[in-house]
Amino acid sequence: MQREVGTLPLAPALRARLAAAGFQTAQELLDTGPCGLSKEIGISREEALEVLQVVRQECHGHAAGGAGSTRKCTALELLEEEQSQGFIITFCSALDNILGGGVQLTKITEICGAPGVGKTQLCMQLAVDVQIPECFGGVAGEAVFIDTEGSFMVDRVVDIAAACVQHCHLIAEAQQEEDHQKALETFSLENILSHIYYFRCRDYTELLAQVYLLPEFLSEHSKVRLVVIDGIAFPFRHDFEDLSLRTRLLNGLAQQLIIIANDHRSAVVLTNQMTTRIGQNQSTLVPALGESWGHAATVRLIFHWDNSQRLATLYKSPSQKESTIAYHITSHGFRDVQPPAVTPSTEGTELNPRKRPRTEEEKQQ
Amino acid sequence: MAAKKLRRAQLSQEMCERLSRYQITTCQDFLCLSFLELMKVTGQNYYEVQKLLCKVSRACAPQMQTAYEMKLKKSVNPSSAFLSTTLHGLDRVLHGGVPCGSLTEITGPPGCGKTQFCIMLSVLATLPVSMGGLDGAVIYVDTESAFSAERLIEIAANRFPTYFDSDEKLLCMTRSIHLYRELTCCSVLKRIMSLEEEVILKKVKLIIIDSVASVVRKEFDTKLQGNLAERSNFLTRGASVLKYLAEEFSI
Repeated sequence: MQREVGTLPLAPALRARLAAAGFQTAQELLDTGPCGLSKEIGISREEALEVLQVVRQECHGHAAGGAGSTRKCTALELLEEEQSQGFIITFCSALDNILGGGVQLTKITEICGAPGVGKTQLCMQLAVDVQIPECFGGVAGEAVFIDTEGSFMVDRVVDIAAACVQHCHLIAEAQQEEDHQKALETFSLENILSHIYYFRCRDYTELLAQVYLLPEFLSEHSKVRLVVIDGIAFPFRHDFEDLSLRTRLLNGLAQQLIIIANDHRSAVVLTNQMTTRIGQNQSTLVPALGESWGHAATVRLIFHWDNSQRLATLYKSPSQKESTIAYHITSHGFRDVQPPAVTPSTEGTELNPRKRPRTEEEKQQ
Repeated sequence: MAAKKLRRAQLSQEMCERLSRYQITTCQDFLCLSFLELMKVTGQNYYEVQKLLCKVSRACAPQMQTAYEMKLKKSVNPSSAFLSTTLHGLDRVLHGGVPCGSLTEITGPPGCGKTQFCIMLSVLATLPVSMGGLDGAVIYVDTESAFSAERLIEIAANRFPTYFDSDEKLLCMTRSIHLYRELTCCSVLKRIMSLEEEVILKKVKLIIIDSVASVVRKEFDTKLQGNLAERSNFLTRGASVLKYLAEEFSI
């Protein structure tokens, strides 16, 4: 109640008038009442009433503990929350291992890489994987896909989804539990596709507008657990003369995404491009959008090539150590590189991803 | 979409006038400001500004589609999704041919046949759908002056002798291939920007730019400071317009 008038979310002109009239704390405003306020400052009675309503809302919001504005909890509560939280698996167990179980909810993960290395493939894989029912180890959520580059191919998603459904069918056959069968009824190709919400943003204004509207969208579709922004660098890299404006907009975006990730308990995945930094006499590939953007993401993965093998490096993570693994992109999606000793019966070099989960299941049983 | 005037975003008249005093007339300007600046400029309190922001965002935000709707849309006309190159190996690897609706890049050392491939694709695009073509016009932007009309007729006559049996048909085909010779970066960019109207006017189904690298390399020397940024600026701007054209018209 001792809150200063200058901190209230009122229009600046009103604030200036209140300060000029000598009001200092919110309590004084409430004591004056609407008629007195309107006479002293020279505003209409309705406006004065509005001001008082805003003041009351602010002060009561604070007294009630501020749901959403400030959250306090002990580290123990956070630990319990984190342990019960699910991960979104990527179907490549090496990648899941270095990430500590998969893509984490409530965190922002950034994937950087050269063109053609597999960033959009991983995003499409995650959009399908987030929908895996809980009895199979998934999160049973929906996905929002914001595309700025136009590289989302529906046919590819159909392939990936079909392989995922196939995989779950195999597990259900091997384990024969009832809730598996029930879950499989709803986990079909049409359902998977209808729960991927796709937005195509052509420039940064549309991207900004979409991110402003996301909280509303997410509260309507409360089952969304994954927000993918494919190509956050593309709209900001051309046509921008004012670099400070760009940094400001990007930071604003990052803050809003953090709020979305925390409030709605969803994972946010961004893909970034690589740019060349020209040093003294050599040039290195670094993630685009500059140094300050590097602070926005919690977890950073860099995809790169090594001769003809695709590698993924965990570059930045608060809980896992830095490591590199190899991965493959097959017609079924994102998969591990099959070590040759495990399955000697595979014909030629054609990877059969379905064989791998079955041997895993047998090992577990 | 970004340049949409605030007036059309259903903001009240007095609000628009007030904002124009600060030179904020388009949605882009509005969304680029931070919250505090918006409060100062509109003279409203925090909650009102949030509502205004939502209104303006709704005016520019893209429409949502589910992946399922996209798939259904695609399966409605399956035949127009690809331009078959009539090279069976290549078509198999590309899953049907050159896809409509996205950009395809062909690269290679000089003399390996890129321009010949482009000329052949132009012939294929003018063929009727029953023969695997797109039955539409072609826009060919040539920066190296490597396009030869004689070669075009030679390819057409030898490849499809039954179809192009008369001079009539050959002339008809050549009339639907529109050639533009551009020799500088600026003119290429201007030409790309003006393509939208031509696509609608002439019912174009294929756009070929041969070649992007030659004109860029001629003009931008990478050793000079600052040229790298300008070059990538030019390239990305051109690329985004082309992508927009490809998706919008599905060509």
